[in-house]
Amino acid sequence: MEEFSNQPIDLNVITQIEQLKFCDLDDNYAVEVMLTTAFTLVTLFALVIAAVLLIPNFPFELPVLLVAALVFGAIFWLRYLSAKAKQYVVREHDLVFRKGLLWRKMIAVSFNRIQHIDLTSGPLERRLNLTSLKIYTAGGFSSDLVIPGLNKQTAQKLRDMIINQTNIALEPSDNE
Amino acid sequence: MSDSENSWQRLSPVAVVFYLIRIINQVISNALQGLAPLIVLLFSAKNKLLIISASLLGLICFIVIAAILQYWFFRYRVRDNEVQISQGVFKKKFRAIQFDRVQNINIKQPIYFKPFALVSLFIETAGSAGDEGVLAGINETEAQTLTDILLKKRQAATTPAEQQADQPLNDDDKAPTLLAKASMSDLIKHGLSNNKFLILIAFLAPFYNSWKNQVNDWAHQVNLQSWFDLFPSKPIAVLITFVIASMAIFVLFALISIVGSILSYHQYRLTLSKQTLVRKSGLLNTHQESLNLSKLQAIQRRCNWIARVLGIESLVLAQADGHVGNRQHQHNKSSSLFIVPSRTPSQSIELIAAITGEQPTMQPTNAISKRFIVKNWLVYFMLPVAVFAGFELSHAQTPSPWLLLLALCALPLVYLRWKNYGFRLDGEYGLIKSGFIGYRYERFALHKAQNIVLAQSWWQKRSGVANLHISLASGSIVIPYMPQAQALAWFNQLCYHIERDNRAWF
Repeated sequence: MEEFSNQPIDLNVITQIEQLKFCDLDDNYAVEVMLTTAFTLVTLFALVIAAVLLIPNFPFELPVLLVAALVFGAIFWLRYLSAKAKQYVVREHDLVFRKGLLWRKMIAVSFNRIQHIDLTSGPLERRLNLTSLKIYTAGGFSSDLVIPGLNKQTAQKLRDMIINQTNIALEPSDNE
Repeated sequence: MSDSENSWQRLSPVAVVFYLIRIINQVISNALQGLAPLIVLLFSAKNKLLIISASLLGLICFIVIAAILQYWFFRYRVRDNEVQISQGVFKKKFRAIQFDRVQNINIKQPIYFKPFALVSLFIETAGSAGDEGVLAGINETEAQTLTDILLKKRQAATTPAEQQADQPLNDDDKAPTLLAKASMSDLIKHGLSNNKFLILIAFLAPFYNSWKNQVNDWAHQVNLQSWFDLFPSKPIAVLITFVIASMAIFVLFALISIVGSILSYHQYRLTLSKQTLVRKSGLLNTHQESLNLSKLQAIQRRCNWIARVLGIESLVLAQADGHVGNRQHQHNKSSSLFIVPSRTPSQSIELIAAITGEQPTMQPTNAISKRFIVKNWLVYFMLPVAVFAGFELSHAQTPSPWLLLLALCALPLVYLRWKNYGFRLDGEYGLIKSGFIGYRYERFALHKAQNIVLAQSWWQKRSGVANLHISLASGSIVIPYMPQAQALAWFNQLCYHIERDNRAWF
């Protein structure tokens, strides 16, 4: 044990996560989510219409279509809200991401526990100048943190910053 | 040793046996699926016997020759700061393992090495996904010296200079302290409590009816009528047969687990020297495993209900999965556990104190919210009952009360589960207790956490509770239905300890 100390910790020194101000994702992220959701929902709705038209003696044609439209509309609205609910905050030593409407989740990953970082962006994301940041730690299966819908420049800045931070953390003595 | 340090050395010829077994294992685990069509082809051929025996002979010859060649081309030597291995028949492979990259050293002595006083030395390095250096069939004393060199060099490489000065010099000469042993009765108890049969029974019990029919059919086939005639009525006969058969299987399973426990933990010895834990045990195949204390992620006290009846528990020293960051290789979880079998609670606590250097507190101070009972009972028991009742109603049947009764019977179990949950923040350590009839304590240094997730559903938010998931490199821990203020406090404390504590987690 190196110069072991066990002083009581002043709780006021510890940063309280509940007092932080979170940042929103890029505005284009909601656009991306709306586009992809709209695409799938329109396809599904087309299938429902096709079923109603093609299957002979389809019962309750109009109500079925109405209910389908309502449900799909609700899904679309929820997807939009949940896209808007995703927020993150970068602190000196860690990254905190929160998401979810009914089931809320807050994930914290400290820079000195990060194993590696990926930046990915699909065709649509590239169009909208978006990038997802994926962070891997050494803990278990569901441990990765994915922050979608970051502005490309922001994501790169964030990655560079994290890499710098981890390098600094690794250099002194404990380079196991 | 200066002579051998510079020249390439071969393994003992007995190593051929090691390679033989390894190749056979590889063939069985990898090539067998590919060979299946070939085997079908063989069996449908005309001169079956001849072709099969010929191809079998060919396979055996191939394996033997491959093993001999592998042995012949394997050379190793120990240099100042690395072990060099040169191997490969057609594809040459050269590997240099630097001492300061070594993470773990395992010494195994399979039964066929015993008469020759040989061992296999497995050198695991950081980030080598199952691709460690294996010196199979080297002299026992040589392996021990090599281990000492490796551990000492590693120690020197990882401890900064000024701390080395701090350490008492006689630390080197200090004999390893014996932390734990296990007697034969300990091993028998451990085997009994590891018996998976009772869990099987618990799963199969609901299907008793279908089993009864099966047994009935089977009895008809085997003509057990005379046996059944011994009993006054058939259902009783079936029941008694069922019970006897279960007991026979139970005894069999118990024997298997006891034998397994003795085979792997015979002459168990756990020692601590220079920040390294060494475990040595095994009846036929002796296995020596070492773990650097800095690699320890969490300590668990585990006790299932059989163990509870027997008054014992196991202490598990969980270390980081060797292949960190490599998700494909995480299936091998059990190998990264360091199990101390058959401890009494006080022995466990003593052992933890000896390992961590301070007296652990094992009493959880906080309980989880009672809403845990409500939610789990409603979702896992009442919801299925309601769905089933609805199903019955829609088919114009009156819902049967049995399921509801069953759900009511489950209520005490859910209550027990709630009652057993507890947690405590204790300076630099976190403690979590859980269990039904048995228990499980998990104690970990807060700075070993990898990431933290605070999850909260809308209902949980309304009632001011939250689930906390803490990922360690050895696995994750969940505290459900924590009071929100405490969950946030843990979250903040964990972040603080991860970021303030400069000690490496690995």
